[in-house]
Amino acid sequence: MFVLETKDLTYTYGAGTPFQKNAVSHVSIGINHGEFLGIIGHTGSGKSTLIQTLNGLLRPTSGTVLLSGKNIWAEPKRIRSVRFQVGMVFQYPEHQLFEETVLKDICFGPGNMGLDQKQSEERARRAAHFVGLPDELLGKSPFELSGGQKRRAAIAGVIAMEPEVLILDEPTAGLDPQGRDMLLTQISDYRKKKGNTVILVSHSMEDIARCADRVLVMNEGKAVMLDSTKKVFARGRELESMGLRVPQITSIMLALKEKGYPVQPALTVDEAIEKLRPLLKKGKVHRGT
Amino acid sequence: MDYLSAEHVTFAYQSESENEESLEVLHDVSLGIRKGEFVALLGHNGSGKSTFAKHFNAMLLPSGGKVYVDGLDTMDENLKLEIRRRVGLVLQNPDNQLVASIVEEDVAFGPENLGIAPPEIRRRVDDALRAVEMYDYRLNAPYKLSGGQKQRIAIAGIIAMQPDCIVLDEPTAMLDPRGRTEVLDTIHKLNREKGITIVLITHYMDEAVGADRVVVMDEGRILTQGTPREVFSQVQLLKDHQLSVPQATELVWRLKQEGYDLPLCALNIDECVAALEPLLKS
Amino acid sequence: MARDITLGQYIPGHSLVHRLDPRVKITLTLAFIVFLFVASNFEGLLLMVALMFAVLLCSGVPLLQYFKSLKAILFIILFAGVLNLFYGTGNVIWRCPFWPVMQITDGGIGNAVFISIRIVCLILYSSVLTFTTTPTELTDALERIMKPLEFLHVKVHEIAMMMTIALRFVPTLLEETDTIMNAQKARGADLESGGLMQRIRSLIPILIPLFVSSFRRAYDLAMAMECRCYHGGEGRTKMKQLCMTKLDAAAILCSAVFCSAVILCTVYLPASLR
Repeated sequence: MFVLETKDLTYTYGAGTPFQKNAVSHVSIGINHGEFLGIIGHTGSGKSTLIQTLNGLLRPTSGTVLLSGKNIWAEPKRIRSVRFQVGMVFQYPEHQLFEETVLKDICFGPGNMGLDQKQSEERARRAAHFVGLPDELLGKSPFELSGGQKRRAAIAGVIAMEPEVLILDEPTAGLDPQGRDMLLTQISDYRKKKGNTVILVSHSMEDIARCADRVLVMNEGKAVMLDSTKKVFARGRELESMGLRVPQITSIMLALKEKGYPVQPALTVDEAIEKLRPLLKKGKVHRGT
Repeated sequence: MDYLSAEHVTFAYQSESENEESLEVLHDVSLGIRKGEFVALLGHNGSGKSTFAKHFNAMLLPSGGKVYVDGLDTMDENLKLEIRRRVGLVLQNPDNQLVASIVEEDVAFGPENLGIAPPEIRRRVDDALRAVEMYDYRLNAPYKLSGGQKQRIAIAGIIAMQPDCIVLDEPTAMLDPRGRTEVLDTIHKLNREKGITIVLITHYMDEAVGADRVVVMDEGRILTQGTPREVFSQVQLLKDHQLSVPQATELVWRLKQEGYDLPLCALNIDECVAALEPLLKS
Repeated sequence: MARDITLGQYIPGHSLVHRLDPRVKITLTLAFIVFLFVASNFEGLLLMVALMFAVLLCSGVPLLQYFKSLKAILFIILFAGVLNLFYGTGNVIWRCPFWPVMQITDGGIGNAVFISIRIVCLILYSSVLTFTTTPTELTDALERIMKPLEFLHVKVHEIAMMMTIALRFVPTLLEETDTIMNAQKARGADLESGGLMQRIRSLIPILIPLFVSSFRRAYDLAMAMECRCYHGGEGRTKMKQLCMTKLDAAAILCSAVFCSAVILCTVYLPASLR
């Protein structure tokens, strides 16, 4: 059984007005328990709308969202409990910090779940640990932290609810390569340790290639591809026609293959080296100028 | 003579409380930038690159050393407006630097501040909007545009002041890939066609590849500089300072380390493919 | 989605009224409103109604739109009308059997009709202004109309600049509020249920981030404005010069004729309000 599943999901903005627009149309996908799913698509492809229907922030115009097999809108009054099970980290999550201390801020979610202070703090500390926030920062005001620390505190605020599914919308936007690397490693580690499902929405194909088991490609509100990362990026030319790129390393391997060399596709530099080594000649070669 | 020149610049943020020591973020930085040059200033967050860049239009003044813009000393209060007209600064967040709620009126903001005659402003606004390919959107509301479009409007707002140089402080950090390409194409075009000096601050290595010169900053100092090829050949140095290189560069460098006969540096996909081809058995 | 505040209630068009100088439009609208109160009898009021219809038809805006703006304040019109029904003198038509002070007189009915027409006209005249003028034009025109106040040390330029910036940032902040609300809802914030105090408390997680972000934006904006050589209103020029045309002269002339007629009516004919 899928942990999350959509059936013929459609979401229409401004229904009944002349501006009505299908942001998501007839999407039927299944997300496996414990998988790392990447979602790509350019701005306006419907990916943001899609993820907001997954945790019940938006109610589908038609179709259903199933969480562990149950329609999340079966009891609209209990939709908040869905949001605890499908945690969602928005873009620039540090803009939502508001409490006096980092610890209290991380406790906001668990507190809303009805946990008492002790339980909340226990969870908050665990979550802070997952994102690599040292204990001495927890007593500080969130506004005193550096940009990268704020971002991690905000992500911890969602992780602390211990959701079954964690959705992250562009979690590395605006971070430098070092910060980006660190955050992605922590998210991957979190998934490994908890065995939970993680959904990562990103414009960075390098990030997706590095982390995701499977990739969902959205284009003009439709789910156009859902397959293993390798298979999706092997269709590089198709992706380019949708205004998407593939990682540079994948392009290089693709270009070599198109020139007739027996090169296998690769997603990371490490992988490319593995694949290239048996094919390369050692020693001096003659180069035309 | 250099158009922009920083001579032994140090800069410290004044601390809020008296007993705390003020934090020095730039240590003795010297750099000259020629007229018409396209310089990429690389470094990770906190390397001092943004602080340094704000010295070029007198938004920040050096605590020690001097900064000259076309020979004008930025410390001279009377020259401040002239320096800012000559050197425009584009910021990271496109939303926060647009003033008016109609595109063309926003672009007119700079020239209006300079007290230019209305018909001339009109002409400059139209030219600037054409230069960034946003003329068709002149009557739109900025908040309805995409990030890349907004950032181009911000650039047009600077162009309309007819500057010699534009400093861009991580202009693409908040944009999607399409927006990034739009903005980069625009600044390359301005550099090529109008001869505008460009200082592009970024932490994306691939954006630096197209520059005339790359300056890498780390911990408030210049770590290394040179043509993109010279800088990206020093993969080990960059890695030691937690800076990454484009994947094409990294692949060629690592294979070369393993003893394969490869050139020192490949900057992009084509160069990488061309470098690998002779080694591949067909 | 956030309402498009840059357009406000503006309905695009190229009608005679759209093409008037916004300064003229503001001044005439104010004048009409004053004259609605100068008119003290039905004859004068009728002139203002006739003028109003002429203006509505010239504005090129569908009459249905005007009707909609009336619907929004229907309650106020009815309330004022009913209140005036009981505040008149003259022949008693109906008296409340339980409370004899409450009585309707023929004068009261006259008053009610008179006042209702006055309010309707007031709303419609201001609607014409907002339907045919963009907020930006209004700001611009106000800055120029208020220019003489600078002699009284009123910071006209600063006020206008604040209005411009507010117009620019309201949609951005509305969108941001929406995002923050969604993000807090995703953390289980309950914004819908609970008593008054509970609801006020539940706004804190939204208001604080909103304030913080507004300050950050203000800081950025101030820097961006400085980078673009902003140094107050001194020595500043404007790209768009407002200039009056023959059309404006004609509009002023027509209005003057009507207004004079209203004055004549008021002076020479008996008042209708009793």
